[in-house]
Amino acid sequence: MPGVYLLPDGPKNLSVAFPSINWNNVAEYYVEALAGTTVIATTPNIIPSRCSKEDSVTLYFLNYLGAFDSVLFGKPVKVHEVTSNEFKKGLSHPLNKQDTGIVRFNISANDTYEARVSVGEEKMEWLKECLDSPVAFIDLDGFEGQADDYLPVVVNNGKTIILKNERDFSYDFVVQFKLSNEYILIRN
Amino acid sequence: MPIVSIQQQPPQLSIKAAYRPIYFLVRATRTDGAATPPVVFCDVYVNDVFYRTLAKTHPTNLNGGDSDWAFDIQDICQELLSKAIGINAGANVEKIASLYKEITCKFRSSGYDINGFLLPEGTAPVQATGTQTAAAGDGTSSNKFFLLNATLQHASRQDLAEHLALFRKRTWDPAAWPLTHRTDKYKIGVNKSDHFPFFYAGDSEITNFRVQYRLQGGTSFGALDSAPPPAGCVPVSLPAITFPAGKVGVPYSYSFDLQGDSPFVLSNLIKPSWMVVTGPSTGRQISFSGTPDVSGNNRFVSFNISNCAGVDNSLLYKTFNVLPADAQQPACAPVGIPAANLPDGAINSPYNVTFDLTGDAPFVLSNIVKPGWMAISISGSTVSFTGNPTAAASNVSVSFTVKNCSDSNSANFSDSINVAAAADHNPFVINNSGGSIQITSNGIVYPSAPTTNNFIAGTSAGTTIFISYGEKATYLMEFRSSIGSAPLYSITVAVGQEVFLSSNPDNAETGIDHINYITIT
Repeated sequence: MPGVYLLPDGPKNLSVAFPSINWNNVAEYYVEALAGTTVIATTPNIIPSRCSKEDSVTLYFLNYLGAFDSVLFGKPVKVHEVTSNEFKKGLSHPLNKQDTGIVRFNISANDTYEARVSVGEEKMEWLKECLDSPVAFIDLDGFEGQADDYLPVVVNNGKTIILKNERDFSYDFVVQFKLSNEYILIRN
Repeated sequence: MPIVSIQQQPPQLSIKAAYRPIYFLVRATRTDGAATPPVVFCDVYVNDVFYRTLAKTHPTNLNGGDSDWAFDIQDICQELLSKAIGINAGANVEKIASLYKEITCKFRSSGYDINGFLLPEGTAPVQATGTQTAAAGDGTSSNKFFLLNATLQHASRQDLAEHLALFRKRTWDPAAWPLTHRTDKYKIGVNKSDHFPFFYAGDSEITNFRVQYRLQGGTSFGALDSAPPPAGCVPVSLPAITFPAGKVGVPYSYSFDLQGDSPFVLSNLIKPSWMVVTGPSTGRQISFSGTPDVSGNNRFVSFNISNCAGVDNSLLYKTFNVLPADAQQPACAPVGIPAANLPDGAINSPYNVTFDLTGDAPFVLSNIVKPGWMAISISGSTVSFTGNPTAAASNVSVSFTVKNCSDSNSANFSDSINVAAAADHNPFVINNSGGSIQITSNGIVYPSAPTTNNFIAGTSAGTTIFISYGEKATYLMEFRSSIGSAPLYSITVAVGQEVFLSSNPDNAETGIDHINYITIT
């Protein structure tokens, strides 16, 4: 029936439906959506990448066509950035050893990720959509009995070369993003 | 004719990006025939339900006897759609309702009444509210087109379908397009989730999927198919739903039946804290109850529903108002129910009965008692009883309580019906010319009528056995040597077809020995 469909094509999704396939041993694959025996849609060729969960990050971004694509990056650099203000106040009498003269307030903290991946020139037009995306997610591993989900992030502003006039068709695609919810910190 | 013609519009059943102009040019006259109407209305219908009206007071062009009016509805289209990401590690094909709508526009002209006031042409549509569904209006209808949450710019092909067709890889149905610009050799981590988005405009059901994979060092692709949903699984759908308004301190009660095959699974439930939602784990009815503790407008309930046909992310999202405890009820004509007189049903004969309530709408049904195959719903003031009886029974209770706009106004309906066995329609005939064969169909041993034994008469050539089973168009006949053994041969028999068995059923037209048992399903 008419509609927008999401066809599961990640090894994590497919391993549920096809537990017999050892995805570490697959060189390439593609997935077909079926209506009975008729093929309705086919994915591009997909290369399963054997980097571990800890050594990679996947950025899911809203593309120009209203759906989510994903880019697999290597292990990101993660920077925890904190800003705050201070004010000075007088000390009470008699002096208390735990009393504070300089008080820190208005603390805001967030994690910024910088991730990079080497790609060919033909992918840069598509990856441009990642930089332009208003909404993006990274994986949130489920624990304490929760299912895996996504963590919202915001892609930072920046400039990226998407076409070079050199005899080098390999591009270092770098993207910076931060958690879209800052840390909520205790004030007292 | 106040709307003379629609000069420009999207082609019928085309696909359009919401972030581009969606342009209509309408030629109109005033309702009294003058060239320029004071206002031309563009009523936007989403999935055949009225959504919003655009109105213009200045034409873009004046012709001799009429005028041209331009409308761009892209702002409306953009607010209809929203992003959605697939379930992390989800293993089913997901259908996303928020990324796609079917759009039609109806155009109406206008004129003046005898007092000089503006008078729109025809009946104006009415927007849905928290307690009322939308009402369609009159007008000249445009083509219907498919709207996607997409943008298209800086591409050589400015038609979305033509542009997306360039990104198809390998086998594609002509009515399907990818919603991504991914290139070949797309990388996904072996422990990562991902979904491939596409739009399909055809009428077939997406049932399952196939992975074609090549192992390292290999040269050919192996293929595995995911398990299709159970045969005949009817996807979940919803009846017309209108949550009634509540009142602080007054118990709230509303329920409706899900349509499609059970069991159903609810997820992502969001509701007011005072509300208790029960079901549909034990059936198809969902009930909403509790006592509102705070008043406010646009309280909302939302959830996803899935069943054996897989996950359908069609989000149920409904709002309703909760009135303060001291709110006065508006004057309200009490609800009235006609005398209980439901007709009896028969197995496999679709049951479809309606009657009208009297009094002021909206009406709310509760305390529904009915057989499992029956659905009871209300639209406006019409109560519908529909379904397909599945088992013969007598004195089956059907009852409910109906309430309308006043707290104290309610009425009870109670009746009982009988369900008769399936009528004998003799859909096809087995003409046996000898031998003895036992025939069963879905556990029922035939012939039960018109003969009285369980076997086709073995000696008299030309014995005709009538088989009746429901209203199917075709039947599967399987020939076996004994009960429970694997079929030796099978054929599909159409209604009205005559099947000939030769003189010895061991050598029936199948040519296979030892056939003495036939099942028909």
